[in-house]
Amino acid sequence: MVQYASLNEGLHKKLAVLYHIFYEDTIRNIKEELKGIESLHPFLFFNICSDTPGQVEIKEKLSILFPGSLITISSNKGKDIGGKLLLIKAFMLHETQADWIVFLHDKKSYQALNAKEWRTELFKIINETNVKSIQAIIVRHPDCGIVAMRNYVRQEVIEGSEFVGNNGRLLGQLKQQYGLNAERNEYVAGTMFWAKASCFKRFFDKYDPLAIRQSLESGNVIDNFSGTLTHSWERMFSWIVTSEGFKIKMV
Amino acid sequence: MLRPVFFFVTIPYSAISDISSISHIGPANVGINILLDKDEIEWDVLLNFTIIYNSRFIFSISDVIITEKTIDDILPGLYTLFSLSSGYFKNEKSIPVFGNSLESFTFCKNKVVDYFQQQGEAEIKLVLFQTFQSAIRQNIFLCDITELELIGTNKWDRVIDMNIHYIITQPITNETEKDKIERLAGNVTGFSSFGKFLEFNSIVVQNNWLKKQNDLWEMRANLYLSFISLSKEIGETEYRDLKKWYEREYERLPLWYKRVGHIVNVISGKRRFKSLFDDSVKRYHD
Repeated sequence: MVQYASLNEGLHKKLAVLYHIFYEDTIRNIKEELKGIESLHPFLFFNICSDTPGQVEIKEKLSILFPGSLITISSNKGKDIGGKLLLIKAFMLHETQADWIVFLHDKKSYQALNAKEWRTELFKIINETNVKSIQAIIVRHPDCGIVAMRNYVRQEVIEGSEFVGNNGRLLGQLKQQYGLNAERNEYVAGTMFWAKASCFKRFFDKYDPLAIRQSLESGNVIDNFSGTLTHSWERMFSWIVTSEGFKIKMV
Repeated sequence: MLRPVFFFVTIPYSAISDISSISHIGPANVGINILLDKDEIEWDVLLNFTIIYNSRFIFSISDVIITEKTIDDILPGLYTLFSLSSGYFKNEKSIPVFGNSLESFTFCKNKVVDYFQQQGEAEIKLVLFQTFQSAIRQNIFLCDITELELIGTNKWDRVIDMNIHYIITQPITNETEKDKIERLAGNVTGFSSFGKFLEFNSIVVQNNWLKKQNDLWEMRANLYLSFISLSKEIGETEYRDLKKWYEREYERLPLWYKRVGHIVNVISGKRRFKSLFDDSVKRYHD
């Protein structure tokens, strides 16, 4: 427990933002991007990928832009999912008192045709208008565990009892290994959403996020050709919440 | 090549966990070396400390905490602390270990290095020092304040020649020592400073800057090349999938069916009538 409470004043917030950075130009607009949630005084966690040029300078700039935030630099393992797992570990060790977590990353996916649209749409999750709607959803629906952008809630296809698709085999194994039994196999593609922090705390109290991170692929992995643990964990992030009976609500 | 030297003052974790006992953190121009000297670490306290003091920090490990019994439990915390420290990313990734048993050090070193490698950190090194005995090991100069004073203002270039990247001093116990450290760190910053390259030799400054820019552009180029290669791979796969779909859905149909289809296209105004009999005319209406 923290012994010097006076030093902690103002550090514990109700909302925590876990933001993974891969592109060096993200620093130019990040203050503007996060403006929509500024009034909620979130506790900010950033992870910068060590493959990002000028990562130490980015860290220094972030600490000036967002004093009081926790900023890590880590290897390119598991792409944004690996970065978010490290931030979850920091969140757990820090014992951050947050009720909700917002997961973000600077998605650009240069290999994809519709990357710009993806990013713009996903980031709407923290624009001022949507933040107000999300707060209303949270108050009105106690069974809400995740809030995401409407077009990015997908259903993992299942045939019989087996998942179909490139990540199918891995998903089946992971769900069994981690005891997740979501009623529906909905997940948020792009892993940018609001989630109930208590579900993550319970799950990662049991399973060390860094042990999971170890198992993920290194480098810029994609699941277009075959399944990856990294993309499977993208689905698992949603199922950690929905397995507890909470619903995904859309804005 | 000459590199900046980073200056760190040691603060034991045992002092951090009782914040009132820290009377002297160190001057603003030096970083902090957090010495993990207790086997039970309250990570929330430690992480809050790094936020509050918002200073460049590294950490070192006492052999008290890396015993065979405790090592597995603290590895995730160590990796998290490592990722929070920009001191290690700015410089060589050598973590000092203070202890007396080489056998215990080797066991724990292997454990730490393995764990960090599994997290994707390949270049990590652990360097053993006898508990607070001054020494130079690899690129770390561990010393007390008196020794630093003995080096004198004019001899800092020798320190830099010895390829030292960190200078780590013992904890500060009073204001006099803090003033001394501030002055000594000032001497070092005459040659080197946080985030800035050596000032005493403008050519070195320029070369370092050019090298850094060169490295950055190389990183950027590699990053974008990897995306181009990925895009090509995805594009090729999508093309093959589409072609397969076309062959399955259209090419397998009987010829008479396809011909009727062309006539339907003409009737519906999509295709020009003449193009049914002559390949040299424009096929479709715009």
